Amino acid sequence: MNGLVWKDATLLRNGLIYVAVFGVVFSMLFSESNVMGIVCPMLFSSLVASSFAWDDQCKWDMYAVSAGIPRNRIVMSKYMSSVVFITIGFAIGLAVSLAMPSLTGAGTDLESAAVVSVTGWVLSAIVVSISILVNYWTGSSVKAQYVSIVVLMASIAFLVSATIIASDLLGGNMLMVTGVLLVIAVLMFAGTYKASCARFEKRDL
Amino acid sequence: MIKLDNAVEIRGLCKSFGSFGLRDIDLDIPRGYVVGLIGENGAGKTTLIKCITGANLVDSGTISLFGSQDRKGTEGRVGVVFDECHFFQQMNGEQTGKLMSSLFPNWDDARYRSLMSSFGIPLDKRIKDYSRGMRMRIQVAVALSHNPDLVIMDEATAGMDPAARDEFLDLVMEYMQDEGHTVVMSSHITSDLEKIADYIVFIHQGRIVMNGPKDEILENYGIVRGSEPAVLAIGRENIVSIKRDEFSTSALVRDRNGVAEAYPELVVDPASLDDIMVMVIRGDAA
Repeated sequence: MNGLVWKDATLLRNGLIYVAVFGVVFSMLFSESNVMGIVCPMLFSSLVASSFAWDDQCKWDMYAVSAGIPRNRIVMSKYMSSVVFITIGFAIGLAVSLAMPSLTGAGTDLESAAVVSVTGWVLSAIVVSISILVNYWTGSSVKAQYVSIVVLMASIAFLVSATIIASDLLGGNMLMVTGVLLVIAVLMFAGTYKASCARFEKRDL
Repeated sequence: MIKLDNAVEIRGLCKSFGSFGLRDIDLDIPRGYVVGLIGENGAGKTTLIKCITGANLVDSGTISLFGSQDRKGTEGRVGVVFDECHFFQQMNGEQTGKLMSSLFPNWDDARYRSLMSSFGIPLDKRIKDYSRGMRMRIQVAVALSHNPDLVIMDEATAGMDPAARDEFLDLVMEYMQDEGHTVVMSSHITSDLEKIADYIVFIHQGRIVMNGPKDEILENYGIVRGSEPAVLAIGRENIVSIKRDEFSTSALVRDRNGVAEAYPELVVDPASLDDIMVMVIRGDAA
């Protein structure tokens, strides 16, 4: 499985760089630097859809299954790749959150930046689990890709809004909100993985 | 009768795609032999191959790979070569080898590099810059570099020049030096199969119409030519198919030696695999 994750990372190396540069430049538009802790992992979470596009372009799944790679391992590799991508996004988002105040002369709140970045990672984990499931359920047709984008945008909007509302309800206790989101993320990973495997097992390649 | 140890056993396989489908396929692929798959375009060769490899799911029937129906323990034991290259165009040979080394337990990197070198493919060249022949060769290099027990090739020699095909066939024969190795090879270039195949399976319109040792097929099948009454006189039970054209009638027969002996006045020629395919596909069943 390491090879499949390495494959995704190698193919998306340029994409990773572009998204990283975009994220850093984008951060300069915001006075609130902590927001990059959310935005960066979210940007990197979109890369998993690109990994599906690469695979579809050369019908890689057909070759991999034919060569004896178990289908559930192929599905699991997508989850592992997405964890790698959003972790890179988390690291960049945290670095920007800490660096930006220094550049502007404002104070650095390490704890706040860390909590927001972890929250961003967890939100992105939920988003990628939905993205992977949608990719396996809708397939690679043009119509399916539009459906995938709409579902993803709706998921992101819902999650961010829900997080803000939950934070208000819990008196601004982001640690508790993040803890709840983490539980949801674990459940989403497990549930969407099972559903993705079930779908992929039934597909002719 | 000696029961051969089979690399693949297929029983009652049915697979449909709309109006086309494989129907009631029963086939044993014995270990240690080269099995050639022939048939016209759209006959079902690729569908059968994909069912064997697990890329296509069957509607009914069973497929056993090395005695296992659930494919447990078969990882890395099957090498595949398709007519299209399914490797990533942005990767080069080095990266592709690195990817494969992590996927296959018995990957032999030295063998891969040696094959790529003998094929004249630089390892730093991206696959998107390969010619068609090079794309086929890298698939062959990968397929032979993880020590599979079974290699399945779907139109692997399509688009290769004669020298490249000859080199490729030598590689197949070298691979077959190990008696535990098995090759399933579909090809329109039947002369290649006549050179190296031990068994021939002919698929026509989703069904197996012929399945047997190549030498027996080439020894026994023949083409009878003459006037229609003379040809039909040998009896429909001896005729596989009949092809009528403007000036004469040809009939494919299963026992050319018997027909030649019984009807010495008729012209009976040996039938090549090409002749058999043309007669079955374009002729009328007896």
